[in-house]
Order: sequence, then structure tokens, then C-alpha cells
Amino acid sequence: VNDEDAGWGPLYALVMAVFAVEVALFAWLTWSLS
Amino acid sequence: VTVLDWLVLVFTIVGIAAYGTWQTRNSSAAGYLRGESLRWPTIGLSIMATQASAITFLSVPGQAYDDGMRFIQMYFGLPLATILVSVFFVPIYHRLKVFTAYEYLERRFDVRVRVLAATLFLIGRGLAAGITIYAPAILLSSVLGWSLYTLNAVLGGVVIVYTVTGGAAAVAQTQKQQMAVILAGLAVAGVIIAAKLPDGVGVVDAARLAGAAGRMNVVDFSFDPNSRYTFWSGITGGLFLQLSYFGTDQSQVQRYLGGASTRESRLGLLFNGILKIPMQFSILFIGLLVFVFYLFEKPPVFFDQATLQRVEASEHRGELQALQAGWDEAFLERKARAQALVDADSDVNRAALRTADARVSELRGEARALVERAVPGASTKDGDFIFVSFVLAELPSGIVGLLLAVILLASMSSTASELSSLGATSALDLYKRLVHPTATDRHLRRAGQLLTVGWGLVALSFATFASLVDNLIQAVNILGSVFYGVILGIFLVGFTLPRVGGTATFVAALLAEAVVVTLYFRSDIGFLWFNAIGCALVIGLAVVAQLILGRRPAGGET
Repeated sequence: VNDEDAGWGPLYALVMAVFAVEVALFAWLTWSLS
Repeated sequence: VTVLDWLVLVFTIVGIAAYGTWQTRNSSAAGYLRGESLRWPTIGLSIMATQASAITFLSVPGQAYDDGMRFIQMYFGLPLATILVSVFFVPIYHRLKVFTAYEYLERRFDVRVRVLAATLFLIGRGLAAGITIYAPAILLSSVLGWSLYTLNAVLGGVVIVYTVTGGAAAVAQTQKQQMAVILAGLAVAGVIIAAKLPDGVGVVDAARLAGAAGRMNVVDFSFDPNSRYTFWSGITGGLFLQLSYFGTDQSQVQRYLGGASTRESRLGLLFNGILKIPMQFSILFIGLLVFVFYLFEKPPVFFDQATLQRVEASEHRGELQALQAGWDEAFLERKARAQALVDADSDVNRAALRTADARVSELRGEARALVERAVPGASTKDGDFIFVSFVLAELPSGIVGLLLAVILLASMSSTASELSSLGATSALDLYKRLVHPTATDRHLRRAGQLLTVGWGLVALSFATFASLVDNLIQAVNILGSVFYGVILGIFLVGFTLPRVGGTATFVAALLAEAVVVTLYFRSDIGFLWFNAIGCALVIGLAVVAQLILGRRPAGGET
């Protein structure tokens, strides 16, 4: 791992966390409005 | 379209292009071919502007109107794709200081693999560039009564001028402002459409109405292989599509190669990983608001008015009138059901709205069938006309100009990235590598300019002479899918299988491409899967070919 590759884990995790929240929200919208 | 609309339109389109051209008129050869010292906000917006074409703004709201929100699942692979590109592709490209993605392939394999991948890109993207101009031009020329040739020539001409003058640097510069106008236009459209809903119907009611009518199908966790958009196809097939697009398509790679550092490139990509899905959601939701608006205001039975007029002028006129009478009735019934649901949300009222909406959809189906009978050869898919006809019929002067600008800027920003990357790839991967290895920077910049003009003319001719492709957004995706998977497979072999050499990869790529093209013509596999199939075939065949060819010492750039 180069220096410039270090420390990116949290940001990658954030991107996936945002995605997970979006999917949860979409699932809720689908479930509650359909 | 009023004088005010024209002012907004001309000011945004010409103003942004002129400013970008002026700012980057003296760009260096590096800046010209791949951009230089770009910061992440520029990269992020540039990537976003490249991916969002006019087709996005024309087709996607129409898709929500007829089919609901489920199209968004196509983008579910994107966040992970931007992460994977940040982890694996970006550091390699930056370390090798490449100008094109395909340059890496020569360092890792050999010149044949580089030229093959570059050529596949040039063919696929060269055709797609034509569609990027043509798709919105044919629609707008029909809706606005503008000449298709003039529209093509003006739009294509403006893009060619700034792309040829400033290259990738000008593309990035203009895309910032273009994207700002696009996002502002979308926000304004959303607010105005929401305000145009009847009294007592707010955005929440609109979502409830759309949901009752089956349009709030945002995610579908079912494993039905016949359903085109599900969560699972999004995170698998969609992941391959986005991964090949962001990792190996020079029209995207060029956007982040010019980053000042790996950090800037990564942040620009991840910016899209976070914001792309909300953006697509907003565009789809605007389509839903248009749907809800038309629950209360009578929509046309077929949105492509020019084609509808041809039906009216044909011997099928009587059938159309009978259909219209049924349509008026079905609309009034659905409106009453929608109002009843707004007044009292109950299962009975929801079911009644759904039934009434099914009747409306059925009549829309009949209208399409009638169009097919009355005007042989005409496209029956009017979904792409829904949003633009709504804008023209219902939005105030000035805003119409703004939204037409949004559509045209989206077309221009995508076309610019395509032309710039086509020019750079043909200048570097073919011309410099095969014809003139000792070319100076000055010479290369000039070659890049000439080749960009050439690609611009190719795209323009394609746009001018192509006949209407059935479904625009799919046509572009399918074109990409036929080549993308194979290109991605080559890169993944390069990154992950150090013992597989150039010959094995080259042969595997050719075979895989032959199989994918055969499947495209001979099977009914969904286009989304061509990426995964092409990619897997290259990897599998390359391993087999290397085993046949014999051991090769591990090495090469990874």
C-alpha cells in the first residue's frame, strides 16, 4: 500500500453507507406507498 | 418558445462555450489531450456531465411516467464501481502517467492489446457519439418544428469549436458551468411542477398517488430474470456496466486522468458515487410529478404530436376519434379516483385508482397500436416525448428556454467528452504509437485537433443520416455493452493475472468479442449482461490460452 492509498477506507465505507441508506429509503418508499 | 426563451437558450449555450474556449485557448498539449491539474469538484462535475446526456433528461422522466421509478436500479452498481475504480484503476493510471487508459495495456501486455482495446473503444464510442447528438436533435426538431439538419449543425458545430480549440481542458471548464445550469434547471423544474399540482395536492400526496398507481416501484428484490430492472441485476450487471464505463472508457477516464493527484481523481469519482443515485432519483421523480399533474389535467393519448397528426390525416382518423372519446372518459374516471384518494387514503380508493389507471394505460397501448397501423414505420414509443411536450405546453416563458438549454447542454457536454476522448485516443494510441512515434507536443496537439474535427464530422454525419432508433437510451447502452465487457475483461486480466501475457489476452479478446457480437445478433439475452459475459469470457479464455501457450514468467506492470 502506497502512502497515497492509505486512509481511504472510511471514505469508501461512507460511499457504501450512503448507498445502503438510499436502498433502505427506497425499499421503505416502495413498501409504504405501493 | 418565446423571445425570452431564445435569449436564455442562446446565452447559456453560446456563453458557456465562448467562455470555455477563451479560458483554454492556450492549453498545453497535456491539457489538451487529457486535462491538467484538475481539482476534484471539476472532475466530479465533469464525470457527471459526461454521463448525463440529453437522453437522460428526455427519456428518464418518460420512463417514470409509464414504468415507474424502477429504472433507478440500473445505477445501483455505480457507488461500488467508483470505489473499485478508485482503488485499482486510478493509482495505476497516475503512477504510469498515462494519457489514455489503453496506454496502460501496452505497458502491461503489448502494443497489439493496446491497439485492439483502443480500436474497440473508437468504434463503440464513435457510434455512440452520433447517437448522443442525434437522439435529442430528432426529438426536438419534431417537437419544436426546427430543422433537424440545422439543429445538428449548430449543436455539433458549437461543440466541435470549443472541443477542438481547448481540448480536454475546455471540456472540463465548460462542463462545470453546463452542469450548474443543468442542476439549477432541474431544481426549478421540480419546484414549478410541484406548484402546478392542484390545490390540496402536495409532493407527499403526489408520491402517494404515484404509489397507488404502481409507479413507486423503486426497488424490486425479486429474482425474476424476466424483470429488466431489479436490485440484483443492478448490483451485478449494472456493476459491470459502470465499472467498464468509469474504468476503461476513455470518455470517462480522460475526465479524471487530468486530476492534480490520485486524491483529486478519487474524490471526483466518489463525488459521483454519492450523488449520482440521488440525481437520477430526482429526474425520475420529476417524471412522476408530471404523471401526477396529468392525473388532473388531460394528457394527450399519444405524446408524439407530429405522428399523431399523421394518424389524423390518414384513413384511420375515425378510429382515432373513437379512441379519443374513450380516452376522455377514462381520464375523467381516473381523475375522479385520484381526487377520491387525495380526500381519503384507503385500500378501496387505491385499488380504484389502480383500476382506472390500468384502463388509461390500456388506451395508450391501443393508441400505439393504431399509430403502428396508420403510419407504418413510425416509432410507437412516445415516452421520450412526454417530458419535453409537458415543458412546452405547461411551463412559463423563460423556464421553457432554461429547460431546453438543460437538454441541449446535456447533449453538448456528453458529446464534448466523447469527441475529445476520441480525438486523444486516435492521436495517441494509433497516430503517435503507429505512425509518428517521435511527434513533438506541438505536433501532437495539432494532430489531436484534426482528429477531433474528424470524429466530430463522423458523429455529425451519423446523426444526420441515421434513422430513428427504437429506444434511444437502450441503443446507446447496447452499443456500449457489445464492446465494453471485452475491454473491461482485458483490463481485469492485466490487473489480476500477472502470469497471463499479451498473446493469450489478445486472442481471448478477439474470440470473446466474436462470441458477444454473435450473442447480440442471435440471442435475446438482456443487453445489461453482455458486459458480464464479455468480461468473464476474456478472463476465462485468456487463462486457457496462456495454459496452451505455456508458462510465462510472472511480471509486467500491475
